[in-house]
Amino acid sequence: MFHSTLTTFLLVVPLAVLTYAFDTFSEELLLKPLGNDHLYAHFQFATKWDTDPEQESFRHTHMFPRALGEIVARYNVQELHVSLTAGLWMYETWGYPIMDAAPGAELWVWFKEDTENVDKNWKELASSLSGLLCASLNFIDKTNSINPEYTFKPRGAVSSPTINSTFVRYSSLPREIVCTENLTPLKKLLPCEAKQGLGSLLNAGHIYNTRYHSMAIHMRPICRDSSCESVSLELQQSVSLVYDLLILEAKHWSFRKLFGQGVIGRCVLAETATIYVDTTNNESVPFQLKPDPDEYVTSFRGGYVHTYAKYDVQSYVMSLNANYLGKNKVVLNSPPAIYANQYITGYGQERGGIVTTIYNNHWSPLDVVFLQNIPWYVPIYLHTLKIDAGGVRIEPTRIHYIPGRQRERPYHLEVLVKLPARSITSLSIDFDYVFLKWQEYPPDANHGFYIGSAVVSTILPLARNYTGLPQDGSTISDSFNASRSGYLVQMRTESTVITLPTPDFSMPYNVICLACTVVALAFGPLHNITTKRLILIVKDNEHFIVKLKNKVVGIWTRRTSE
Amino acid sequence: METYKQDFEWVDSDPFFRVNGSNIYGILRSQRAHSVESLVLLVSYEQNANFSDWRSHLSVGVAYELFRYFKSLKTLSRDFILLVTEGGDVGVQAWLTGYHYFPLKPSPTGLRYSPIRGYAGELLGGFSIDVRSLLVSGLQLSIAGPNGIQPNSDLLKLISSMSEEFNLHVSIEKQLIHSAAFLHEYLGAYLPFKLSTDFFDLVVNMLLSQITGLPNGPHGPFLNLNIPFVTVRTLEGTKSNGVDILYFGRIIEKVMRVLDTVEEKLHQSFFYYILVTDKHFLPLSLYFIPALFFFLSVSALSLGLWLHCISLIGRANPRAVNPAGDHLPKNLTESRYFKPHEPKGGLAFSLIAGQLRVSFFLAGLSILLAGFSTLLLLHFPTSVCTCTFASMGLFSALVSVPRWVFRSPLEGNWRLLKYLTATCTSSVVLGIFFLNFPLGVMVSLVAIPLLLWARPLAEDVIGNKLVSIIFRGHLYPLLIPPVLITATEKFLRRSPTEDLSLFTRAYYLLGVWSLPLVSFLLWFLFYSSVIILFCPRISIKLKKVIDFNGNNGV
Repeated sequence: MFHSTLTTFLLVVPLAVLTYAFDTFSEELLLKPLGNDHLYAHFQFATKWDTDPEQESFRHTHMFPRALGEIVARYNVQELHVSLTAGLWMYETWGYPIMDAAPGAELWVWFKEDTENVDKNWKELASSLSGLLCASLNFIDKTNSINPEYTFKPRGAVSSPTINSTFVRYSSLPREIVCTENLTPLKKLLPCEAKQGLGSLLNAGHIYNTRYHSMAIHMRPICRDSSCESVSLELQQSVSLVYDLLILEAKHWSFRKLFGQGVIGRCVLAETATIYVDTTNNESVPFQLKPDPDEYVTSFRGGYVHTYAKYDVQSYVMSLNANYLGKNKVVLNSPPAIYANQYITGYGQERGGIVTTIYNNHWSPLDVVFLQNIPWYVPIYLHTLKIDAGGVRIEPTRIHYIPGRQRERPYHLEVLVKLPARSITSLSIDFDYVFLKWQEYPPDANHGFYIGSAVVSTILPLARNYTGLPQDGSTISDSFNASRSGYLVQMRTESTVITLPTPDFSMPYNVICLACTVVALAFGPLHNITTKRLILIVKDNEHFIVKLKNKVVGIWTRRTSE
Repeated sequence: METYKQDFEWVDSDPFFRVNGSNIYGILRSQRAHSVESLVLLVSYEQNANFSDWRSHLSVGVAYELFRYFKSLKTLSRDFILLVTEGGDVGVQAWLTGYHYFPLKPSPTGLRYSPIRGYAGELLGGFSIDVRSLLVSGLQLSIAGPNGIQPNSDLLKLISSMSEEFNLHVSIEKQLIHSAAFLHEYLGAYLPFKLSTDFFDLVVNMLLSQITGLPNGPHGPFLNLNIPFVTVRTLEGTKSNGVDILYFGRIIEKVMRVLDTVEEKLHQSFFYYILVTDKHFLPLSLYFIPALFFFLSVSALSLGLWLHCISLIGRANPRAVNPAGDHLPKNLTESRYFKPHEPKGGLAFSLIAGQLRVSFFLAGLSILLAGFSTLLLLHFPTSVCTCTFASMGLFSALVSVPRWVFRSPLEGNWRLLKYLTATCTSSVVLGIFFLNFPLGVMVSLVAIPLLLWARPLAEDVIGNKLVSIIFRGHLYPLLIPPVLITATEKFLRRSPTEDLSLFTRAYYLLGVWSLPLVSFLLWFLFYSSVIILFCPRISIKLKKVIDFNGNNGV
């Protein structure tokens, strides 16, 4: 008996280990000074699992979070991209982030091609993710979702050479507020959670004291090798933070100031655990790192050179300090090749317009895809679409427009346009303000209604201000020396808020008051008129003395009779 | 702080009114939000500022220091914009136009401006500050906006309550005239009591500023876009009565932080109101009641005329008709109450007597309130004001309508025309009341007596002298308000060209004139169509009546 049990144990355990030895986990942190007064911290947690996503049931997982895997399997998801962001990434001054994300919640998903009812799966998936991440993603449904034609292509490996955009869904909730309750579930998806490794730096008390914070989950199938005969499943979890050093009240920064504590050892499950500090501008704004880095890494990418100080996370508590040397210097900001802003034009509550201004600082024309998901209660008019660059009208290369339908689907506008070199191009479209049904107003109706960010996508020929990961990479180290023919950027503009005509919800009270007053005032006269008779009395012309005499006589007569 | 610049130019056909300059603005981004909403702190830098005088730059300095402080705050939930404009209202208008509109194409005249580059979402409100001294004895708020719009009353109350904490008195700028000073000068010596000056000053100024529709500060263009905005000026203090400017900064900071944390916009309909004291106001819901009386007076006139018209057409002898019906005894029908007759002393006397009655009533009411009701005003200023307006409206309704209608020697078709006029006037008056209450009061007070007084100028009313009737008889009431408004703007403002640019004046005057002009057009169309479509028939009917009577010519 004992032998058989032992034999079984000896056989099963190595088998299990062998089965799950094909997943790897790596964690990285990139710290990058942004100008003089901001610091960018990006956590990148990547899990790669050599399993076939088509066959995988997600019943037994090792480092891949089973909670997420079950959702992905249940709703037939091929690719999943979800982000929760607060604050606005300032492209003009900060360059491009490693991962773009729209303010609020953003979700875009590719479903597998054998999905029968995409809309149903989409709605249920959003609800499930809502539970998983404690976010209000359950408000995502077909009334605020679109299927982009050009903007969101699959990021991972696909089996079919043709891409059918009916299987992609995109939606954003710009008003979603991100806080601790979203961070905690994200940390629980990490193999070491927040107990060890870089995850231990995700201290809610500190990371929300930032100007911009974004957390994201990206899941996709990737090629296992260069031949791409088999695929693996990749999960990227990221947390991006931008610290305002003025808020931290010191130019010098340290892990303790940024995260409240140092790294509590190394995650034993992580294959690699690395910290990078961007020291490219160390000559103009010199700072000294303590302890000294293990090594310096130089990256040549897209015509630009970056240097990074590299630290391997050790098994003991580790901290990092940066002390700036010398006096403050003003760093000249070199804006990126392309960035965009969005704003509302017009005033009042009848007509308005949405304008997106795209700045092309590059010396050659750029092809851009502009995507706008406009809620159904902001009806836009395609004939008012104007694309203008320095007073010159530009004809779009292609327009993909699906008009919205009230309470059923949003307005979907996708425009392909070639931006002239060194130009400022404005895309404007007019809309009407509509009345909603009274139950469709939120509790704080006078706060306004949000229009989500526009997404501006382009392929940059150079990697100036570019820190994004290559499409074939999943870690920050994969982006080193990763020169390519083009660099995909997908910028998100500001979300905007508009004030729809809002009824005065205190009106019932006023009406009751007015009605009561009117009733009270009207009751007396009406009661008199209806209950009393109006009769004519013949005017008495008797003299006053005669009247007095009659009265006295009357009284006398009454008394004597009594 | 992100800093941007906007150049602008206002080109007029008159080179004297050429204005150009630059607006500089900085955006302090909130650490928490994503730039969807913002608050504005405006400093309108004077065009002819004396650069050697440090007082000219004090507002900019205070605003800059405030923003340095705001930058250290971690909890801002909205973006803050510091806007420094020059060129008076033109600069503010250029910035707002650039912020809300698509960039304009250059034109030979008008406003030109460079496009705005930095945006911070929807503008929720803010202040314009004007600081002239380091010691502050009080704050003065300028609230008059274009076309009678005023800042949300919550904003005023907020400033008022915050200032109380630092014992700084808040007053409202009396833009146009000092009524109490006028009363003091001419009546004070003869009156046995002290006039309550503040109340009348404020109410009269509020009424006049709403009627004229002229802003009294750089907040005007903001209010025109329904952005709650107010100009806060510091009153120069001495060592004995003044406090340090630091307290002013703390008040502004507190109010900005309160506005920053409010989840919803300031949204109640308290932007058409009459301020009675710095803390009490008369809202739309209260002055709607007196407005109703004014409206009813004209409507009742119209109704009376209609009844008479019907009775005239249906009866052989119009003078013996009882419009109330046949169910009353015969002796009442022929009694003096329903018998039209010439007013004693003629129409002129009748008009003067009526006007005198109204004037005496109002004067008496004013003196009563001013002299004997200090206590009442202190505790119930809003109620007193409502009662005053309601009394005026009620008086107008009671005095003018029944007697004047039936006393005037109105006959046949002329009465019909007058009925139509009264109907139109009542609807116009009601419309004006909804838009601008003080203007409605003024229109009513002028239009109702004029309407009653208006008489045919020719014997044949619908015939040959039609044009003369249309232009002489009926449009007087409507022409009065714009004439008064223009006159007020022209004479009562201290220096219109300095205080207000031509652009803004033209813009607002156009707004003020637009209603009468549109009404004029509508009336003309209405009369033309009525006369063309119906009058031949009516004329024939009336002709029959007149022929039947034999001696009843108009």
